[in-house]
Amino acid sequence: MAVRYSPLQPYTERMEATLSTTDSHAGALTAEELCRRYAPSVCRFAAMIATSSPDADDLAQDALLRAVRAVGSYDSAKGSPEAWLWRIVVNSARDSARRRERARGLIERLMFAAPRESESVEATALANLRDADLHAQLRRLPHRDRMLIALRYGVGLETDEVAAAVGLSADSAGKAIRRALARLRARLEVTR
Amino acid sequence: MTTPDALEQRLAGLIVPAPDPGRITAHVLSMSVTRPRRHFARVAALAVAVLVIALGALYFVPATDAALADTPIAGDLLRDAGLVGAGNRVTAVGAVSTSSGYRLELVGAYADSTRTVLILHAEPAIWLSASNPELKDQFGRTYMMRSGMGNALTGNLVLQFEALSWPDSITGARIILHMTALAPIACVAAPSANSEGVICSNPGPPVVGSWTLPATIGVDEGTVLALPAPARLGSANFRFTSVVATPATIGVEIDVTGMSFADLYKIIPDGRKGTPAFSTDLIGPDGVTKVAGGGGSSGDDLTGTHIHIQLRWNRDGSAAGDYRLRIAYIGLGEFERVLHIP
Repeated sequence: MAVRYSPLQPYTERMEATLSTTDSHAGALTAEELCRRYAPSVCRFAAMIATSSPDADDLAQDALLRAVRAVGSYDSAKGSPEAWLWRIVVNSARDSARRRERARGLIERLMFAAPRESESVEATALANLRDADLHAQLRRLPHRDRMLIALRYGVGLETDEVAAAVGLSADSAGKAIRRALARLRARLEVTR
Repeated sequence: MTTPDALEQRLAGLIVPAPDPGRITAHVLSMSVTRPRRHFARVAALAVAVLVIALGALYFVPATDAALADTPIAGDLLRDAGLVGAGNRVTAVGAVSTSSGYRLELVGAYADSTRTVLILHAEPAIWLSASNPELKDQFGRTYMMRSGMGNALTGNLVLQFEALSWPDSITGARIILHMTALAPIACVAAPSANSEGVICSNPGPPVVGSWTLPATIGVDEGTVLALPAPARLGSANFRFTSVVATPATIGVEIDVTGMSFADLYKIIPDGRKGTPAFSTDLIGPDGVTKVAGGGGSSGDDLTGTHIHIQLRWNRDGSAAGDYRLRIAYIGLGEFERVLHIP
C-alpha cells in the first residue's frame, strides 16, 4: 500500500486537527483510537527507515504495539501525545536496528539465495520508478540519517519535535537533519 | 522558516511501499487483546521455574535438622571413629549395597568442620584395595580419604575423609560413597594365642564389583575459638591460624616458619623405632592426653620455609573446659597454650 501526505504539511497541524475532534490528550485514548490516528504515520515512518518491506512491517507492528501497550501509562503532564508516541517509535526503531546489526552476518549470506523484495513490491517499484530510486538511495543511508529524514519529511515533524523524539537539542537535530540530507544528495548525484 | 528545497519536497511527498495501516492495526490490536494470556503464560512459566528451583534447592540442600539423629551404633565403632561421646551426633544411614558376594552397609556418618567420617560394616569382612573409595557430594566434588581403620573380625570399617566444602559445610550434603574393588580378608586361628586368637591376612587379588552407598548428612558446625599467642622454639616460629571445636573434635592449625620439613619429621634414634623430634599433645580438663585423630602438613616447598600444620584430636566425650596444648621439639624445648573449649 502506498501512502502519500501533502508535501510538508506541518505534522502538528495534522495532529491537532485530528485531536480537536476527539479528546485533548492521548491518556483518554483507547488502543483502537490510538491505532486509527497514528498507524498511517507509523507505517510511513517504518517504510522510510526500514531497509526492506518485511522489516518495515515488523517495525511498524512492534512500534505500534509498544505504544498500544503503554497508552495507559501516558501522562499528559509530561508532554504531548505526539512526542510520547514518537519517542516510543524511535526507540523501537533503534532496538530493531540493533537486532538487525546482530543478525547482519546471517542476512548477508541469505541475500545471495533469496530475493530482496516480494513480487508486489517489485511491481510497485516499477510503477514508481523515480520514487523507488529515491527510496532505494534513502535506504542506503546510515540508520540515524534515515530516522531523522523519516521523522522530518516522512512523518512531517518539526525540527524540535524530531529533536524531542531522538533525544537531541533542536539545534543539534537541525544540523543532523541537514547533514543527513547532504549525504542523501551526494548519493543521488553519484547515481545520476 | 526556510523554503523547502526540491529534495525536501520530494522526500515529503515520497511514495513508499508502506505497510498497510489497517492490517498492522488489526494485528497489533489482536496481539494487544491476547496479552493477558501471554502475561498469564509468563507468570505460569515463572511459577514453574520457581518450583523447579525450589525442588533443586530441596535436592541440593539436605534437611540438616533431620540428618543428625540418635543412632544405635555400637560403641566400638564410635571409638574407632573417634566419636565416643558424640554418638548422638552421628547420622544413622543404613544404606546397603551388595556386589560380587560382598555386602557393604553404610551404618552411619558424621561430618564437622574438620572431617567427614563414614562408618561401614562389611560381610564378609574386607579391607580397602589399592583403589581407594571415592566420596562425592551432590555437586560432584570428590573428597580425599585421610585415613581408614578396619576390624577384620567384626567387619567394621571407619573411613575418614576431608571436611565437606562450602556450602555443604553449612547445609549438610548428599554424599555417595563408591567403591569398585575390595581386598578380601581371611582369618585363621593363631598357632600361639595372640590377643585376638586369630591371624588375619589378605589371601588374594582384589574383588572387583560396584558398591554405591548414598547418605544425607548434617554437619556439626565448629565453634571458632580465640587464637593462642604465637610461640618460638629455637629458630622456629609458631603462629596459630585456627582453633575450632566441635562436639567430637578439636582442630588446630599452625603456620610454622624457620623450620624445614626435615626438621619437622626428624626422628631421634633410640635403638628401636626412634622418637619423633617434634610432638604435639592435647591434655583434656581431666588430665588425660587426647588421642590424635589425624592431621597433616603442607608447605611452600621441600625445604619447608613455610609449613602449615593441621592437628586434630578426638574429644572422646571430654567435657568443656581448659585443654592444654603442648608443643615440643627435642633439644629445643617446649611450650604450652591453653584452649578454652566450650
